[in-house]
Amino acid sequence: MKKFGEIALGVVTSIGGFLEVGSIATSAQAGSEFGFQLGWAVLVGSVALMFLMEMSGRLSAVTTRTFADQLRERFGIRGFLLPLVAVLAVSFLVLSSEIGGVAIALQMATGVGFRVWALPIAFLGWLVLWRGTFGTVEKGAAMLGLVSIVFAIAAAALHPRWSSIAAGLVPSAPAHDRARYWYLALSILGASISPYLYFFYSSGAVEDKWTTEHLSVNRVTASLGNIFGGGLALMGVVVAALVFLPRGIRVERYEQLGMLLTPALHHPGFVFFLATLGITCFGTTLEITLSLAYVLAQGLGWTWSENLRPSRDSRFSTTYTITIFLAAIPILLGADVLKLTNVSMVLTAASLPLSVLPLIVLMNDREVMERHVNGIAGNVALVAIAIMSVVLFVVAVPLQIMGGG
Amino acid sequence: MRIPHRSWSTLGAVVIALAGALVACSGATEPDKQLDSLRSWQASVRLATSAVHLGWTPRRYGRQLHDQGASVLEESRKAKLKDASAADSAAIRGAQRALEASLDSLAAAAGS
Repeated sequence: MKKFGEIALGVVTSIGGFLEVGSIATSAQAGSEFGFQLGWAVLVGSVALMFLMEMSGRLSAVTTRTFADQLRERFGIRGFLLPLVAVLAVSFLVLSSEIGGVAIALQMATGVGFRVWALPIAFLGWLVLWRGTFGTVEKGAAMLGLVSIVFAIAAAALHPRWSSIAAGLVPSAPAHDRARYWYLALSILGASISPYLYFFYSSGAVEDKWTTEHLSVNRVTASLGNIFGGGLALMGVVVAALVFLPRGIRVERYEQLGMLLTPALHHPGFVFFLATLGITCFGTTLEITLSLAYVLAQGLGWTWSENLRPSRDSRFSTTYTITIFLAAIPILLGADVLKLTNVSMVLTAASLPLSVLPLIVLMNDREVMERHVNGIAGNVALVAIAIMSVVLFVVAVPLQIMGGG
Repeated sequence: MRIPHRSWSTLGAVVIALAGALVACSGATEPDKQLDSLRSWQASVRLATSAVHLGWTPRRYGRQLHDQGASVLEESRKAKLKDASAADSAAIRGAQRALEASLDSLAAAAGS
């Protein structure tokens, strides 16, 4: 019964924590420009994330240490430095975008410009991290994030043709704007498979003191959470395809998204969209800030835990304090949140090989994983993800130049 | 492990080939992009006007959309387009006028 409760909570928090500034923006852009045709990118991203989270969770449950710890130990500080810098850099950009997402939601709700909200959001986030525990951050924010189910309700209210949505799950060539199509596919993959997610998940497994007894909890949480979470992102594509595409609306500014749910749900659609954007981006702000502090502290061998008093792990708490306020600066200076989001999603996709390739080595090392090394299915999936990540790395910059405008 | 020099040359060639392929498949010209943007904003402004009229969104949200649409229109008027034919220019001017008319309707609905 206890295990069932853990699984249910894990799945619910994964669903509630799935949508964020990147997945909302890229889903809406994809739907408004290509209808259901980019549904496959959401599916591929969710399935890839499911495997990566399951493996990083399994690694932590078996070794009782985090993915970052294992990276440093297995590859040495020099081998760890490149993934460390890449994860920190791209996650920092994503963090700024998330703060921007909350700020835009508050701007749409109050009419007060988004720049004004950057520092108050950073302060509130810092306060939650300073005063709260890992459970507060992980479960509290994700539970509130369940408001994002409104995307599924709106999609159902618009009566889509489900067979057309299913057809979009199979990759097909676009009839127009090929560069833009692949650019959006890349952005969707970057939004789905952010390295901070599996670094955070792995750290969470250690915070929650997972052991090999939690392997089934890990498997079900990673699978169902990402499948249902990915389903919500897909509903974002569906709603945008039914609301924006027929009207000829292309998403160029985040503020246009305020009308996304209104034709389906009227005034509650506006309110729930703002709630979804604000809550999910705030929850992700907390997770990324923690994830950045986790990776740095684990990489450099500092004492770390969100469950310790800040005075007991002062370098860890100083890191998240500095990080969250620094990340607010681009928003304070008036950065275009949608452009920042798109660029950070593309760079996230480009950074994937640096964390995915070492995972192949770790998950097949019997000294590390004992009898829980990857099976054939796990390795096939991981190699496919690794190949995809290398392709994304190669095409990211050309696509940003050709399709980002 | 020492990586042979030839591997990097191959990787470089692959990147250049991919970039070239992408350049080849990116079809939209500057006038096309501007026209698309103006039409998209006109559609956004029209949806916002209906949403404000029907009480789906507050008037202050309508005012935000109005200000952004107005700034897109302003930028479009200032932009000097390369490769724009007479027909392109006429289409862009028409789209600018249509966006301006829609912005006026939104301003009336949202009380800008």
